[in-house]
Amino acid sequence: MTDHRHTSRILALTLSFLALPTLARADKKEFLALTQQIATLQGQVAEAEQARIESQKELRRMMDILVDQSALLKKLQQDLRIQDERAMVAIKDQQERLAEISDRLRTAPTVPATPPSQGLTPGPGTPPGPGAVLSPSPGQPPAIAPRDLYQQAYSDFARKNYELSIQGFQEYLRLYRDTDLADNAQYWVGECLQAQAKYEDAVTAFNSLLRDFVSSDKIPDARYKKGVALEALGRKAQAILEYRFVVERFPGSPAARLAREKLGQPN
Amino acid sequence: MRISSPFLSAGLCLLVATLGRSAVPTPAQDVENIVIGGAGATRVAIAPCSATTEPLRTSCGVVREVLKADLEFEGFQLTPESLMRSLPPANPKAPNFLDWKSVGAHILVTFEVTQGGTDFAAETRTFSVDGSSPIMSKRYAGKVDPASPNSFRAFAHQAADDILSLASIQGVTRTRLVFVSDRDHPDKRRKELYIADYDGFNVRQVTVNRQLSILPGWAPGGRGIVYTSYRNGDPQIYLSWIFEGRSVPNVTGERSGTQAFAAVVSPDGKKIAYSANRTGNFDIWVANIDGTGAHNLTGTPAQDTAPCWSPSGLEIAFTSGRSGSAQLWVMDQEGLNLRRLSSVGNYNDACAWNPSREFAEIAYSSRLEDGGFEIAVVDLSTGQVRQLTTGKGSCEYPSWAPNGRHLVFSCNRGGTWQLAQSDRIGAKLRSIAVGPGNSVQADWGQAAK
Repeated sequence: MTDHRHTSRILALTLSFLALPTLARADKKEFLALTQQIATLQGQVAEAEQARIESQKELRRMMDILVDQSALLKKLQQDLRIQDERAMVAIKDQQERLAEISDRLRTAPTVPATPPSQGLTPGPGTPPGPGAVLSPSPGQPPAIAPRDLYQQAYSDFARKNYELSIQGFQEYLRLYRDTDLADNAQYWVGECLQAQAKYEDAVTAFNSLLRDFVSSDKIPDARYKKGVALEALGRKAQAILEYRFVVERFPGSPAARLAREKLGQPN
Repeated sequence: MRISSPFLSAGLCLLVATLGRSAVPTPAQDVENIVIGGAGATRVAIAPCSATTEPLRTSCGVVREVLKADLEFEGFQLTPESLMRSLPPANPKAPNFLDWKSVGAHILVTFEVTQGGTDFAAETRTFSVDGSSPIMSKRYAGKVDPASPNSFRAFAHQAADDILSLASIQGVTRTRLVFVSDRDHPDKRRKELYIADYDGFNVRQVTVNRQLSILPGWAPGGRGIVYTSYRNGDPQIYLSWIFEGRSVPNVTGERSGTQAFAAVVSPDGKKIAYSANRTGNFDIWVANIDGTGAHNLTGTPAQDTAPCWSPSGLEIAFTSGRSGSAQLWVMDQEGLNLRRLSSVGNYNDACAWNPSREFAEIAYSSRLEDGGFEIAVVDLSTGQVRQLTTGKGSCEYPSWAPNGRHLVFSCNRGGTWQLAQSDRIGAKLRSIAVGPGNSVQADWGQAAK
């Protein structure tokens, strides 16, 4: 019995050993299947990763486009705002021009109507013929807007074209003496002359401002500048009078601060 | 502090360009008709080098490429290389004008180079192709470092300036930029000043403060640089005479607790305008170049900073917060006649007045809404504003070329701050490679006299 059991164990052991390669084969198959599945999964993961990277790239591209569009929009908004401001300036100029025409019409003597065919100046949109004179006739608004004329004259000053600048500001004063910028134009005439070291003429120009624009906010600056011009001419006593005037009448102004320095007073 | 002397090192000190021959008289009509850009633009051909042996071929190649780049920068239209390849080699002294007519060239430039060790010479000849006649002939000679191709560039720059003068253009090829960079400080907290040629080549370090050195500006004549240094803790104004290797610290004599920064030298070189807080808040001050005679121009409770001089020196534009937001204002050099300049944009800063007599305009950094800053220019003759740049990030700190035809500024479009240039209407935008790190606050100065 014991031998039989022993034999059975040996047999079972032998069978199990015989079965091992079969089992091993089975494991290998499963292993191969599993490897294949892993490879498939890895491929899927790689594809998913690739898709994610592509999505990110696309997203980034979209973001870039969005940022560019945003910048473009801002640029357009700014252009629009500039257009608005230009339009506002144009409207203001037109209003000034209308007011001026209205004033002229009010004050102009009544004259018999002139037939259009006898007009000496070309109508709107009519190209000038050879030798045509384009200067505005009396009563007709000049071709250049007040602000444009003023800005042009100022830009000449900024570029050191002082003679041109004086001409521009004087033309402005001739045409638009009743506008807000007229006192500034007179001030710039003085500045141009001062820049050219024409101090006598500069004093005259500042005197014109002080005489003709008594409520101008340029008075303290013009008084101080007149003092500087007088000093340059060697008329120190007169210059001191100007500085004192500024200090006493406009004590809080920047000109007063400079005048105090000239007078040797503490600020 | 130590100021390095970039001009005593290899490079520019080797350049002694002498004009061997003066300009040859030329039919006036050929010169007057030079047209820059547009449909009827004058086309200039730069003949290929005739040198057949090294190292002449290399040096000639460098000179030719730099000359081409210089002329293109100012808008010259060049005859394409592809057309010139079909032509036989040009005789530099007596070219066959029919050849050059056949490729549409109106002006032809030929040159010959000679080199013996460190001695180098380039002889350029400019011809009117239409008139079949010479316009100008010049010879540039000096020392070079044969191992450094950059040392040949100066010859081309000088030749380019002479050719540009035929079109009444004041060339900027020998002008220089001074700028701020953190390239030598990995912590990015410290910055130094550097100088480069106008096109970004020949970068040289100027300050070795190992602190913050910022906001540089050239003195007229290109021999001095004024800037703000934090070497003593508070910002103070320093003036470096670069050719002498000498620096004047705390020019305005600020005492402990007061600060001064953003100085600019007046066009006549005699004064500086700057911002200082001696009165408790920042005002615009003007002093003599040696710091004496300082006086306050603004004196209001508002913060006033970043002044810039008008080309006449009679006016100063600056940034002020007096209207509630940072805007540009203008006053005369004494602080009078004050008026607001900018109206578009909620933060306008860093003005730069065009130095040319041709264009009355001021460039500045402008922020629209809450976005970045862009470069804008206000035309003083019309009051109109044009925006030069647009895109991601910001562009700031404009500075005009001495001829007023170009601007340099810094942009962070690609993440780091880099220098960029454009023409005055915002076209032909290009970035300038001046090296690693962030590069900002460039100031474009005159060629050294």
